[in-house]
Amino acid sequence: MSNAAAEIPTAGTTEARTVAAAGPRDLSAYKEEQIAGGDLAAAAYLLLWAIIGAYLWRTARRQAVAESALRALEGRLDAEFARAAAQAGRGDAAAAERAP
Amino acid sequence: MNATPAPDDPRRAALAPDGSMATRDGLAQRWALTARLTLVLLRRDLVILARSRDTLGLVLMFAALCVLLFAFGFLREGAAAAEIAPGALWVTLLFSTTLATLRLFAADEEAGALHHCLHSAAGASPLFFAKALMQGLFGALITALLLPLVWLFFSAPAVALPQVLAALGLGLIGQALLGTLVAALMVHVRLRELLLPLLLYPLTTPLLIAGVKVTAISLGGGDLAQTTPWLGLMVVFDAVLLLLSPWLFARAT
Amino acid sequence: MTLPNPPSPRPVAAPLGLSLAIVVAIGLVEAALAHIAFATPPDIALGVVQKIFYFHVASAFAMLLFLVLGAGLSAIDLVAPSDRADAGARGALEVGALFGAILLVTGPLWARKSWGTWWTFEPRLTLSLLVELLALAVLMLRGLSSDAQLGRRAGAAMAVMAAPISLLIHLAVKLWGGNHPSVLQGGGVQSAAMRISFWLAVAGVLTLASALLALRYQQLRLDQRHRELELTFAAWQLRRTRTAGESS
Repeated sequence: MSNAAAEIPTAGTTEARTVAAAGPRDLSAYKEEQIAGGDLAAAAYLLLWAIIGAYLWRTARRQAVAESALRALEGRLDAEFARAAAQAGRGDAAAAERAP
Repeated sequence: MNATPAPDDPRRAALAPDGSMATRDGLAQRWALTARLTLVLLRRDLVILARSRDTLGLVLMFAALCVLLFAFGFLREGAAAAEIAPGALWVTLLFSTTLATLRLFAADEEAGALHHCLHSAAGASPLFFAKALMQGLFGALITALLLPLVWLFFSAPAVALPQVLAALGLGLIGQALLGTLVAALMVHVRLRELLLPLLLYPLTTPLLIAGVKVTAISLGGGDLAQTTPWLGLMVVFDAVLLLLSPWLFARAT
Repeated sequence: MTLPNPPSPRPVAAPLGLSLAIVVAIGLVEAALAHIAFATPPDIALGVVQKIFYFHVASAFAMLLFLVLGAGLSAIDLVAPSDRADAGARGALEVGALFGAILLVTGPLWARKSWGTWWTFEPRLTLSLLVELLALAVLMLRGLSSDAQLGRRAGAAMAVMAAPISLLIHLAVKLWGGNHPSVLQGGGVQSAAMRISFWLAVAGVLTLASALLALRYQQLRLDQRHRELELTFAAWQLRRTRTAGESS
């Protein structure tokens, strides 16, 4: 930006020179305000594991839901099977009474 | 171009008498049938459009409003900034064609006709091409309104019109093909008004970037030879869409 | 008249390979982390922040690989529908999107130091963001569909469509202009220790991604088996009621 301002020969040439001279000073101030690299690296690795952890947690919850649904189905199957067996038993008994 | 129906598919019998798709006659017959059905469906959609012009009117009003908002949103020294004119044109076009895309299958769906059109004797292709043509027509009408509006509001400088029109044409073809596919895939989706732009806009970015670039070069009086690679990119994009989207449409609906 | 036996819910056994993959993945990731933290010198020009690079680039590899795998399996599922291809495609897209999220989070942190800005409209950056948004939208499409079969096919079609268009997005954004360092041509790696760290990280992340995919695949297969069993059970109940009605 400052370079572009310096190249354009406008009415206020002195102003343009001032801007160009201020350039490097601006840059150093900009570098000082930068965040320490170690903090950025630590943040990156923390976030990385947070994302993977969140995915694992969600997968684990889905697994728990699937397993409880399967257990519920198993329970219903057992109950149904028992009732069917009982009915089949009654049917056999009725057939035996009618047989003689 | 279309998916080959399975051997037990009743559609197959209607396509080629001997059941083989490889014969020249079968293929020609198949194309003729597809073209005829496309025209039938297109005529039906045009009749619907002519009877109730509400959708078209609302979309056009939205497009005009959108350009106005861009002009207000990017004021510079009391006037609309001319350098955002290409972006305003293309983004408005993208937004307002999306409204038409969202309503593309609405009439068929509400009348329960969608299932029958999708599983007609010639497969899903006629419906796809008819809807893509409708979407392209919508886009052309919107563009016809937008171009003068943008020129008026942004007091745009001299334009190399052929380049801009070529870019708009290619952009509308791509949007029509992609929009028709995405709209068809969204028919059974909840919150589709929200999800459709999320799928459509990332996929249209090549068209948007290229279109904005071509328009900017043409508006700024730049070297018109620079528009060639961008127009080429749009042609390749449209060709890929033309190959893929009818196939995916037939497979996935 | 004998009644058909009710279907028995055979449990889907967690395969030994899955546990093994998880153990190997954890081991490799630990090794990579230890090597990056203790054995690799900080970058001469960039300093400690350069250590983000290893997992950042490895995540990019994982994202690319698994999204392409997801698109390929989606294409297979569209051409020859199979529950396995469906589960694989969905799992691969999820894992690809997961590492895409990691890529997009670690990228700006590194760019802040090395480029002096959090975000710049640079080709690969823009492409990763767009592809990540697309992958998330495709996954949401499956979830929001009211018809499971149609949602599955629509998601597969979008995944297939996104693959070639991503190439064009890349081309378009590249024509637009950019300055991303080219890693594999020797842009980022200076010493042998760094190379070891880099390849350890790549191996670790790819094994971890594969283990996560295997985990999710197995779970999706379990869901499919559960749905199948529910259907068989409902059909069996219907038949039983009908037989009971006939006999009485």
